[in-house]
Amino acid sequence: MTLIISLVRKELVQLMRDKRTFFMLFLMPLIVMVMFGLGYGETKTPLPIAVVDLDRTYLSYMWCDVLEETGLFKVVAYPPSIDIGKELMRKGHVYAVVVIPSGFTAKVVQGESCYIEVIIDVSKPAIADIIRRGMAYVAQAYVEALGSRFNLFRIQLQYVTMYGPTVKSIESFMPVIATLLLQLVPMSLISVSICRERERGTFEMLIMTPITRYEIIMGKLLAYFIATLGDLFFTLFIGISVFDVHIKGPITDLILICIVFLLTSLSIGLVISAISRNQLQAQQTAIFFFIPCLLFSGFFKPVALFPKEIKLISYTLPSYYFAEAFYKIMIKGATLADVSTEFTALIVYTVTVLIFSMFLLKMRLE
Amino acid sequence: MLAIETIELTKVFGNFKAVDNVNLRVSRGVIFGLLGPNGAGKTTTLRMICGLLEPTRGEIYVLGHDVRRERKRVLRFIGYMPQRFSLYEDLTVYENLKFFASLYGIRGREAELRIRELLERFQLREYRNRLAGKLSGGTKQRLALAVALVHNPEILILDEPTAGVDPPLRRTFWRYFRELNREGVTILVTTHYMDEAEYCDKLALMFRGRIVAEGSPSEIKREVFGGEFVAVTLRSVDVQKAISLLEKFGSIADVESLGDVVKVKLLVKSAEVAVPEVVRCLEAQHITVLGCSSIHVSLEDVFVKLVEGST
Repeated sequence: MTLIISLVRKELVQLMRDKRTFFMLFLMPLIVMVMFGLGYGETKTPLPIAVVDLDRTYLSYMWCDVLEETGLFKVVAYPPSIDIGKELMRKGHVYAVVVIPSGFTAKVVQGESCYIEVIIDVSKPAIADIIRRGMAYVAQAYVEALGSRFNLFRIQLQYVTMYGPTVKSIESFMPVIATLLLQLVPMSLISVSICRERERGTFEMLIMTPITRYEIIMGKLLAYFIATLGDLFFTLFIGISVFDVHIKGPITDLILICIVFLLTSLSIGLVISAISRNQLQAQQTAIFFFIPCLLFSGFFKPVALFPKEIKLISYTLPSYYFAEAFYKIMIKGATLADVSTEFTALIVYTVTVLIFSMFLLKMRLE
Repeated sequence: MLAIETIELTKVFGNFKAVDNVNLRVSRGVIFGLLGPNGAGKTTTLRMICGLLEPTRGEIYVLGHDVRRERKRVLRFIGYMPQRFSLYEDLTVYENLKFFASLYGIRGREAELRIRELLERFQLREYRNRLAGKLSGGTKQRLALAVALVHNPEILILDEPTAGVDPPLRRTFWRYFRELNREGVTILVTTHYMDEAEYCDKLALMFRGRIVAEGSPSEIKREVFGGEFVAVTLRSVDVQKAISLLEKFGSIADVESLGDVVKVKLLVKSAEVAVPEVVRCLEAQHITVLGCSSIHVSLEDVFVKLVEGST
């Protein structure tokens, strides 16, 4: 234990003297938050769309007005046909084409159900998602407006937009930001820690002392845990104080799940460091590992919508469990007890990976 | 008990035999020099003795302990100074010493005393709070030596400790080594400076992974040349008579004429024994001996002779 403390002290002194690490630890959260805040914050830029109005009557014009009133969309073109509308989308001028069928006004007045076609560019899933949510919101607003004016039909809305436009964008992105900062930063920092010693030759002296592999792994883990813990609080602090993020669940539970995930990320980084020959290799491996985490943890598309095989990938990623738990606690107001599955999964993951790293660390040269 | 013993030690990298059947026997309390050009396999041998590399074949014992089986135990006996500077450049001189001391379980007051002693001994006091990376080459080497000694090891293993160090400091280093040796530390040192090898009690010459000669510096010279050289200086007039007398002591290696003086180079079994006898014998025959002394053969000559055939 005393050897671990010696190693921790040494690592922390080294970390403090390394400007690059300092930058990674304290500027990264700020930069990432500001980037998300600017890009996805409250001030929304309306998405340019096209409306193909085949009806051209009073009520179809009104639909267009409602579209623009939401502030989500800006109608930039009224193409005369669907084909021309599609062409505009292909060229990237608009993100969606709304088609109002002929006879729309007549049907609404008669109280019949009618369809409005929305053509979405699925190559940009994040935007497609915003459009889907936005359109639902527009339809609701439209029906409400009509209902109050003509008192024609009353529609009890079955479509409940729980998180849609009522949740601030920065809040819906908090799980992504948290995963990014609590996985990528600690993992890539620690992933170079052992192989840097190999590269600089200090590993040769280190393993000439009676230190064991258990002590090296635990010492490094503890040191980087202390260093990145500040990172965690800093991120939460910026989110809450600067971006006014609201956390529905208990904050202690949220911090606890973050701490466990931080340990998971550090353990993975240690495995990478134990098997890499140099710093470059370690960094690349860390980023390579991060890509599936980013893709398959439900940030771009809910995991529930993935095909079976891809879901299996998601289930092997710690970031999936973390993002789920974080989301549930922050937005749904769940407690630690509600996310015990995710919590347990992360702990099992961490312990397993740590044991692995101890086996993989060679106490020899090359 | 031997300090270090290797038996048929072999290390193969791919299809390259870096170390080939090396048998070293280092007694306690000696300075043992492992000599050879770059790439001879010296570093690989040392690393295997330290347990830093797994040997392909062979056995290693340090103070009777098998390195492969009892590495943890063996490490406490060994102080190691690698060829490349291997301390933390972003820690200060003091922090480096303190860290390594703590890894050997030396802490608190004991550590402070030990560190102060080492800083004093190797003239590092003024650099105490300087980052190791900011030190000059020679100071770095002194720090590396101090760190190697932090746990008072019985055996000191030094890999090219004087490589790239200027001559006055090299001499200082050897003064340190002899002092330590006098205090009872066994030293195994590699070098490619042949002049340094003269300071060693025992030597092994390594070439292309093999030990090509072994013994004390004078033993090695005698073995390689089949004896020692004595130079006898005479007047030219006495030469014919003298040579026939000298042939009884050994073989004539060279006769060099310098005006009215001639220098005869004689190969004998032992110069120490031969010199007085040669003088007595020649003077008994009324030949004036202008000079008679053993010739210093440098290890460099030995080495060149040894590897002549193989290159």
